[in-house]
This record gives sequence, C-alpha cells and structure tokens, in this order.
Amino acid sequence: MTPLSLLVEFLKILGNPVMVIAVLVGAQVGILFGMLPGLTATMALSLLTGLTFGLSVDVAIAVLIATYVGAITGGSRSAVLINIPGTPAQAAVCLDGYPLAMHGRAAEAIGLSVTASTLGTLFGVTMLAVFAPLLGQVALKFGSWEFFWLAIFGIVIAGSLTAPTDPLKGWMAGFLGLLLATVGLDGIHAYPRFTFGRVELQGGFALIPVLVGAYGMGEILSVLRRNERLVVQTRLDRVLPRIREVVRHWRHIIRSGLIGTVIGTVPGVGEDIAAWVSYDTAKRTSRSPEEFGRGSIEGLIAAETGDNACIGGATIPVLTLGVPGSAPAAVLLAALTIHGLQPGPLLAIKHPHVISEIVAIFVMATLAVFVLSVTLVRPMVRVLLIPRQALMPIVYVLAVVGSYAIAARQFDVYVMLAFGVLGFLLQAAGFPIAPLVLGFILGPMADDNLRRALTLTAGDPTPFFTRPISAILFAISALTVLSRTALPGWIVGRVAAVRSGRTAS
Amino acid sequence: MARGLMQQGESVVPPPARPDGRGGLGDVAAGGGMALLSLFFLINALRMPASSALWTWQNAPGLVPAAIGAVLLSLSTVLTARGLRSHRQSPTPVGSLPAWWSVAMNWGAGRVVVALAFALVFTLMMGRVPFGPLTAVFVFAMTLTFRGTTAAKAALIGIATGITVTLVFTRLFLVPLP
Repeated sequence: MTPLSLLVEFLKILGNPVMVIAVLVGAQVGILFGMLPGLTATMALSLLTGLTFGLSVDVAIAVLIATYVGAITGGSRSAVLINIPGTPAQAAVCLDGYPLAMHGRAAEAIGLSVTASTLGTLFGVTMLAVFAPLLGQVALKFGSWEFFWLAIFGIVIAGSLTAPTDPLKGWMAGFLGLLLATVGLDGIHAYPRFTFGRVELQGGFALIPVLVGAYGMGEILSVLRRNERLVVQTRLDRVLPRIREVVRHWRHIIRSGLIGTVIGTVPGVGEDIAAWVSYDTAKRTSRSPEEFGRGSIEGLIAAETGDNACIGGATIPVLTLGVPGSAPAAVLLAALTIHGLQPGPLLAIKHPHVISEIVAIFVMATLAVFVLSVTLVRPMVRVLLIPRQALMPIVYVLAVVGSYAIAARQFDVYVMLAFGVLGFLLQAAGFPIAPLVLGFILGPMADDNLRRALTLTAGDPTPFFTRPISAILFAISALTVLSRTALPGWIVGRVAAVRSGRTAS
Repeated sequence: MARGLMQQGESVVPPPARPDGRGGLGDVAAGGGMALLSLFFLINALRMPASSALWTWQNAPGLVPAAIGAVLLSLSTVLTARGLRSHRQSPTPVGSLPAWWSVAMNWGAGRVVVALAFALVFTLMMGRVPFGPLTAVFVFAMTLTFRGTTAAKAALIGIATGITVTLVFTRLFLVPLP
C-alpha cells in the first residue's frame, strides 16, 4: 500500500455520494450509541451488521467503520457531562473530564477530548496502513501449529486482562466460547456435533446473533435492572480548542498513540485497557501528577488518544491474522466475513485493494466524526437526557431485526435471546464477556488447525513446541497463565523455606 | 405494576461483593453450572467415533470438543473448590428465603424477569402477528412498565417505532422482517 494508492481510494470515496452519506450516517449513529451510557460500540456494530446486510459491501463496511470510530469518540460526551462513560473505553476520561466540567470548563473538555480522539484515531490508522501489509507478510508464514496457538494465546491474554482480579473466570469464559463454537457440522468432515438431530443446529450458532445476544441483550437487561436518571449540570461555550493548547501536549499524544496501537493489536483486550494504560503512563511521566483526577488536561488527552489509537491497532490483526484486537473489532471481523471478505493472511492477496480502502474509510470516518462532534454539541447533549430505559425496548427490536436479517430464520432470534441471558448471567457472576465472544470467533481456527496439524505429523505434537513462532506463542501463553496463578508464590515460598532450613542447619 | 417496578428500581442496592471480586457461594454455583455444561460436552464428544473410514484419532470430530471440555471441567472444579474454601473461611450469611428474596429484589431481579418475559413473548409472537403492530405493542408495554410514563406517551412511542422500523428496514435497508 502506497500513500498514492491511499489517496486514490480516499478520493474515490469522497467522489461517491452514497459512500459519503454512509460514512456520515454511520458516524452520527456511532456518536449517539457511544454517548448514551448502556449503548456500546460493540452493540452498535452488532446491530448494524445485521441491519446493513442488504447493502453493498463497500457501503456496509463504510457504515460499520464510521460507527466504530463514532462510538469510541462519542462516549466522552457523557463521561465529561454526567461522569458516566458512554462506553467502557471512556471510564478513564471521567477522572479528569468531569472535574473540568464541574469547574465550568465542559466545552473545553469536550473539544480537547474530541481533538485527542481524532489525533489518536489517525495515529492508529497510520500504524494500520504501515504495519498491516508487513504483518500480513509474516502471517503468510503461519502454519496450522501457529494458528492453533494464536487462538489459545488470544483467549489466555484476553481472559487475563479483562478479568484482572480473577483471571480464572476470564479463561473459563474463553474456553466456554471455544466449546460453544464446536456446535454444528465440523469444519473438516462435516460430522454433526451436538446437533441432536436438529437441522437448525447443523450450521452451528450464527455469529451475529451470538454477538448481539452477548453484548446487546445482556446490556439491555443490565440497564433495565437499574433505574437511574441522568442530570446534566454545566454550560457550554467554545468547543473547538486552540491549536497551541493541543500542540503543547504532543509528547502525551504520541506516547498514548503508541500505547493504544500496541494494546489494540493484543487479541481481545480493547479500548478500555488502552485508555487506562495511557492514562497511567501519562500520570507517571507528568510534571504535575497531583492534578490527575482533579481536571488534568494531560490525563484527558492521554486517555482519549489511547482509546482511539486502539481502533487502528485492533484492526491490524483483524485484517492480517483474522484475530480481533478488541470486542468491536471482533464484530468488524464478523461483518467482513459475512460480506465475503475473509480476513486473514490471504485477504491482501485475494482482495488487493481492500486494506487501502478500509484505511481510507477510517480516515474519512475520523474526519466526519470530528466535524459532527464539534458542530452538534448542544443537540447531542439534549439526546443525552433521553432515559436509557426508554431506549431499551427499541434497541431490543433492533437486536431482533439484526439477528433475523442475516438468514431470515426465527431460530437465530432464539439464539440471540439465549446468549443474551447467558451473557447477563455470566456478567452477574463476574465473568467477562469479551473472552467468551473471542473464544467463539476463534473456535473454528483452533479446532481445524489442531486436527490438521496432528494429521500432518501423524499425531506427533512436537512441532507445536519446536517451530519458532509456535514455541513463542506457547511460551507467552504458558507464562501468562503461570504468572496469574498461585504457583510463583508457592515456588518462592518453597525456596525461602529450603534456604531458611539450610541456614538453621 | 409500572409504579411498583419504578419504586423497586429507585432503591437498587448492588449485591454484596467480596473485596477481591471472588464471591464464595456465587463461585460455587457458577463453577458447578460450568462443570455440568462442560461434562455434558465432554461425554457427548467422547461418544463420537474416534476413527472411521474418513478419519483417524488425529482429526476425529470429537477430539477438540473433548479436549476443551476436559480443560473447562478442570477450571470449573478449581473455581468450585476455591469458592467452597472461601465460603468456609468467611461464610456469607445464607439467610432465610425472605432474606434471599429481599436481596434479589433490591438487585433488580424482578425487573430482569419482567424484561425477559416481555422479550420472550415478543419473540414467540413473531411470525404469528404482523411485525409492525407487534413492535408497537411491545414498545408500548415495555415503555409503560419500565419508564413509568403516561399511557398516551407510551402509545405514541410504540406506534412511531412500529411504523419507522417497518418502513426503514423493508424499504431502505431491504431487510426481511418476520
């Protein structure tokens, strides 16, 4: 991909009114979903994947990408104004955004957060444009052994990071996802597994109903469980920040951009972790760390740049490996698959223009989100006052239509409902949802590649541990598990006991 | 009913959680449920043919589900054992049925059950009743119940949603509706 090919794709989109409208609509829908607490980026993408199924590939992808960028950016509005993050990615933004609003600087906080988001997204997308083709070349060297470990690596890492206080539950959610993905005809021999003679189960659980159920329905139930009212107490004046104000924080912008992109590439981790790590790093390196949490501009910029840079980072493994870097990216992967663009190492070979087209759509979407965000501040604040309980019945109808639309099967709606209840119960019991969905997506990859690899070596598992990339992926996965269990503490304790025994003797 | 739900929701208190995020009996229940589910998958995977004219054990269809089922069963056992140990060390009061009921109601279980009942009825009626009117009635009933607004306002929201959803998806997005 060259800058010229990127420019050509960008101009092509700009010259196509349908694409421009698709990007603008997607961006606005994304901002709305992002800013309303309870409606997340993943939910928006899950719903729209089904709803845009009838549109052409280009237009559908443009809507989804613009929604993704809009939702991650839009969440800062509620974080600043009402101290509730619109999406989990903006939790870190609340820490300094809300104190700024309390000091009558809400407009400045919104303007800075939107600008930092824009710069973060552009940073991540630049990384996507540079590194996706390079990683794609590396991915071509992957065999079945590496793809199997990649799936396990994704689950282990996502399980550890999305359930930091109890990684066991994160891993269990991931393995449950893998297990549920085995329902239906198996990918090699078309043998019916766990179908019990039911024709509907032969195709397995369709991805979109699973995603809509786990993220959408689960969230609907969570919102309806509570009964909260939102109050906006602030005034809004000049939103667009001065360039000097932004430029003097260039170190935080670049550092958070890099952190967000790198975290984005880690399977299943996502924007919220990117924001927290960026925020924490900014606080550690700041000359005035005492201001963090009391309305620090540095903290606000770092968190926003980090979570938005994660978008581009999370898309890199989607396009090159077929592994999602975050929950919304998982839906994007599903959408690309549904529209016949199988993400993975062969994407750039089978569809040479797709990556540059996606990058161009990202750039266009980022600019659209920026323009809409700074021009429609006051009407959007009014939308924020709509009670979430009033929106949930409509969201449920959209979830039903989205699940039904892909195959026009009522069974998919039941699957959505069942996964919604499952997701809600798991969340209530402290299990994270991201590893479950990641496991479900990576299930076929793990299943087919483990059996294919064993067939190639006549049952010898040695290459799983001796091939270089395979060995690295295995080692990282094993170390991650070991580091989060009681084993290191036990070993240290034993060593200390042995040493003290020797000293005593 | 609407007022009752609203009043219930206003005093929502989160369920008691342990500081480390690990919840004794809750973990026992979750671990037990997961163990049963994984055992179900494991047994059924082991009943699949290990070899045939088409495959050997290396690429048998039951290999991966059996392996994952075994891993999940082990993890579930660890979670259950840990939950039991944690409960023994600092037992949470189990309480009588009314105490459980009170905790569940404060947590919002009543609202969840009502929401699920609405969703289930809507889903079961799909295909039997035209989608537009069904959507209008569903949104009306849900809005009235959970938002506690006036019947006229809820009806207006319901009718507007029914018409908009039907028109937008059938005409604009060309999506088939049930």
